[in-house]
Amino acid sequence: MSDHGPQEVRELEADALLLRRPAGWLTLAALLCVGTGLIGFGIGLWLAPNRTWAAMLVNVLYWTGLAQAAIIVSAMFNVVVARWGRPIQRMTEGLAAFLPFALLLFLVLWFGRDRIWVWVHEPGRNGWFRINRLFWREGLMLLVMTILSLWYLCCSIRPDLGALYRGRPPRGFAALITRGWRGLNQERARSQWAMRLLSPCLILGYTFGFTMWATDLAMSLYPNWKSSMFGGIYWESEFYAALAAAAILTHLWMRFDPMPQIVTPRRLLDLSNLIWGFGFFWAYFAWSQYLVIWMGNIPAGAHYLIEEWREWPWTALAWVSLSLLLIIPSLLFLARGFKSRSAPLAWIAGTGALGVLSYRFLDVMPYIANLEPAVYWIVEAAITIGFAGAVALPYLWLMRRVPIFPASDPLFVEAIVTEGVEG
Amino acid sequence: MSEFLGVMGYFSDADALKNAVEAAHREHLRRPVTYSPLPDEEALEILRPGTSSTRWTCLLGGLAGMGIGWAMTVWMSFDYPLVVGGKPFVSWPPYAVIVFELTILFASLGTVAGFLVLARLPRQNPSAGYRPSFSIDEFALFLKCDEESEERRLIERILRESGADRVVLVRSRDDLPIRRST
Amino acid sequence: MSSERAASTQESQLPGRVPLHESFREITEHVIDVMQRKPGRGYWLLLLLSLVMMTLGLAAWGTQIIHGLGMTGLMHPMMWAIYIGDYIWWIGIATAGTLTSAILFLFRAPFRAAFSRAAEGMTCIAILTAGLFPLIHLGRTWRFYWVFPYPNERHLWVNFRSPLIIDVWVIATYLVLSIVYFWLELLPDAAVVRDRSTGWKRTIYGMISLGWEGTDRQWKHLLMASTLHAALLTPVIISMHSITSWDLALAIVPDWHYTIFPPYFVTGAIFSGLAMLLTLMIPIRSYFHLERVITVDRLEQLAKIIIATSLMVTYSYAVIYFMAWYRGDPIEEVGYLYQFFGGFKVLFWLFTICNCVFPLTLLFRRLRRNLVWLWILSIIINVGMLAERWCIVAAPLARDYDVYSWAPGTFHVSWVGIGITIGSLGFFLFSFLIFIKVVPIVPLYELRKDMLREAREARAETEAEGLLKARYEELRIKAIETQSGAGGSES
Repeated sequence: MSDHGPQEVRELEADALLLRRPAGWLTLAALLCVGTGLIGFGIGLWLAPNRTWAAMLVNVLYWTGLAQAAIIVSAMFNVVVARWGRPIQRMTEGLAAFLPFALLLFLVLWFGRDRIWVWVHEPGRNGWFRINRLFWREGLMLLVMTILSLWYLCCSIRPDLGALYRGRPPRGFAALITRGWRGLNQERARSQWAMRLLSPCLILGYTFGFTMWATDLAMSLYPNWKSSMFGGIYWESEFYAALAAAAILTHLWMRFDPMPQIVTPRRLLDLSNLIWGFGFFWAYFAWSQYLVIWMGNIPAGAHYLIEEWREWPWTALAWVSLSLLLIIPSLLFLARGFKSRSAPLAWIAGTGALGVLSYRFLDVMPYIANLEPAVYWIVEAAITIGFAGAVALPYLWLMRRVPIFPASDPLFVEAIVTEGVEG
Repeated sequence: MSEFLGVMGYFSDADALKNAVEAAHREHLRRPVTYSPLPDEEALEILRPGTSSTRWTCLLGGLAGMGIGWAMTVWMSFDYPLVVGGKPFVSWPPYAVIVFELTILFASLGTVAGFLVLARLPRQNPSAGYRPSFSIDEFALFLKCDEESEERRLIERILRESGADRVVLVRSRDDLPIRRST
Repeated sequence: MSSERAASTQESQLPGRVPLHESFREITEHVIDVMQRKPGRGYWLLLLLSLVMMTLGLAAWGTQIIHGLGMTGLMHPMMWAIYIGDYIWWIGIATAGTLTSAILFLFRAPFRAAFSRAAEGMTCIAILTAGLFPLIHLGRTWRFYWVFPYPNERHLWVNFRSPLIIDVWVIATYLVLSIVYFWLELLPDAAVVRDRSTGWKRTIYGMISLGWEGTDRQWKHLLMASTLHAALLTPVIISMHSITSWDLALAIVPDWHYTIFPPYFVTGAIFSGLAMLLTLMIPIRSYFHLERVITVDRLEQLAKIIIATSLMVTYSYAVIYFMAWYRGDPIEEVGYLYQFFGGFKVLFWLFTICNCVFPLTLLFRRLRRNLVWLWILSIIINVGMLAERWCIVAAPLARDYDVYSWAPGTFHVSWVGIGITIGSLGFFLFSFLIFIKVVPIVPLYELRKDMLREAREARAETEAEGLLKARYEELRIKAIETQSGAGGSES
């Protein structure tokens, strides 16, 4: 028997389509964060330019990957035809609104290219290592992925906006999205079809494209070394961070009315198991890389390992990353009580997401920021806060205008109805 | 002389059995035993709430395996101290992989041991009311009671109301020893 | 049994009753009949074929034991070629069986039940087959026990740092776990066969089923034991194939020393193993008339996983060859060019086209659901993956850091090596043919469980569906009213 009787399902459906407005002060806070970031960037350029550009690179890597992976979470649920993920899908997808800004922030890195990539002026390497080509290919890749992601996002929100405004003319953003409206059923079918086509393309584009992205932006900082696993570690950890973001956002939205009935403890349990699993998946990728380098003991690889794991201060960063990303969440997730409530889950997920961020710092800092005084960590913190605000602003703007549940998705309805039915 | 053991109701579908189990639970009847050709988790949750303790034997086995793995690799490396490939005697990365495998191997053996003990298997003789159709398409609920008692009539009423196809009295078989617990 | 049941069933009287018992009996009898009926001519022919193949393999192995490993044509620098390639291929096939039965169990994939028994059986047999190859490749097979750490007068212990030694432990773990998991899942079905048999068959199946009766106690603990094993098997298969990949990657041979090898091998293993599963299940489906159980929908789900793993394998190839070029190491460059255009080009293009191009046809729904094409494609994938294993093992050895030891051409192919490969296929086929006659080919209790769950879900949906359609109108109107009242709830 379903956990929800007919009356309850009726009310849940009604609530699902409503718009929920996040508090106004959140936008103000986000603007403040962006301001902090800009100030930090400015001061940093003057006092510690290497660290500033390194921090910019880290944040571009992290937040772009996160925003992109957020759409991939949704695409993944689509491809696998998983019902249970539908309720949290929209809340996560919204992060993709940051992608156009990510592209712009990436292009800002052009001005720091001398400080970031050591080989910029090095002649005689093979054709890959030319800075112009790097920016062209990564820019194009990001542009294509942004277009595909926003297209996917539109397909997702269009039927919902149309259903919301049917019977009266839509305003503003909704009008833009629902232009050429053909009727709810037809729009739903077209949406589903388009998302089914886009999902595998997005996933392929993410894995291939972001491997190239990680290689160019992070691995090439130490050009003598290569690791075929590096791209995989990057996009897998960003996907993990996106899942963690999904958990955090779910908790932040939990105060709104139908959430506790739709995002039940069972769903939260499934989400936390997924996060747990991807934490171990990261560990597997990182271990694959580590063991091969350790055993082979080839100079370039050995130098990479020693630099990141043995030399101070990076060894502290390495162990902090490992603890935050893997050890602490895995241990805490052993307690079932933490897994099925949104608050503890959000905190644990947040730890994991922070772990991924510090791991990105570990990828970049040893190769750029080595010589500048450690006290300028405050610059890095400011820039990171700035980026966080920059991600929050488009998200808040978007989520004000769209329903937080994909109510037009037929699997969403099915998910609610079959909640609690066991074999 | 065969001994009276209790009352058994035969059902032809899982939902009827579940109704009966719920009714028996409401009336706080003595430990019911169900026979079914498939695991109905909803009914099992009522009959035996909580998770099976097989988890603990699994964990114990795993810990034993971990200990054995480390002890074996480290002790043997020191007992035959040969520098191979410039690696230290306790070269933990590859040893960790072996320990990982042994943890899982012994966890599996622990699980099997726990399962056999907790499920009271293997059993040599069938229980008194067992019928071959129980493994194919028939469900049954057995409740222990005395032959002449109010309880027996209550049980028979519950079974019939839940949709039992038949209600029978179960006696022990002369050729088989009586098992007190199922 | 059904005649003893009361004539008037009360199914129609109580609300929400699901009449499934007839389906249960029907499917049980169908599957057991298939298992126990006298085998036809096709079966005997296949059995004979497998025996012929096994004889060839044994003859080849015997020759190798008498005359030495040189009979296989193994020559420096390509000291690892066919046998190691075969070993990796067979272990890959075993991996997919476990994926289907264990990992999909954890994901509660509904289409899994139809395949899981055959997959588990395939796993156990494939592990045994794969385990033969390290023994064969030893040459002096009777010295196999040297890989185990046993106390000896020379005070020697094994080198635990070596991935080959780690392989020993992994194979042992994987074999024990697979057999245990297979047996646990078999208990209820062995009880079915026991209950329908008499005489020595009843005794044997009784022993296998441990006196299973299907009580609540037994089910509860069996479910936990199965879940635990499925959870334990997941890291085992990942580590199994990772360790196999480390046989190659932990060496410093230029085109072997890649960090991506473990995930690359694991996805390749799942890819080739699922293809082998299809190769076996599609003929079984039509030969034994199991169309209602092994439906086209379920086969299509397997096909989707195959296309996904094919894309992952393509990704791995792309990354590996890109990285070889990226660093600009001249030896690595020569290595991969040797694969593209040099001595190994036949194997290379064979596996690239078979693994990367042909599976793309599965993107089209019509081809995904065409069983003839699925079967042909599964053979193509099997051939492609075997070629890839041979290429990835031998080609980097041919272009190592020592330039003077570079080998011309590809590795020598002798009748001994091919004979043993064919013999292993014969052994697999033979064991599988025995297997389908000894145990029910589909897990009956899982199928019943799935049928019950589907019936309950359908009932829940029907109850709510009628209401939902009317409700959409209501909620739309309510949403518009709320919107015009300026916004939803406050924060």
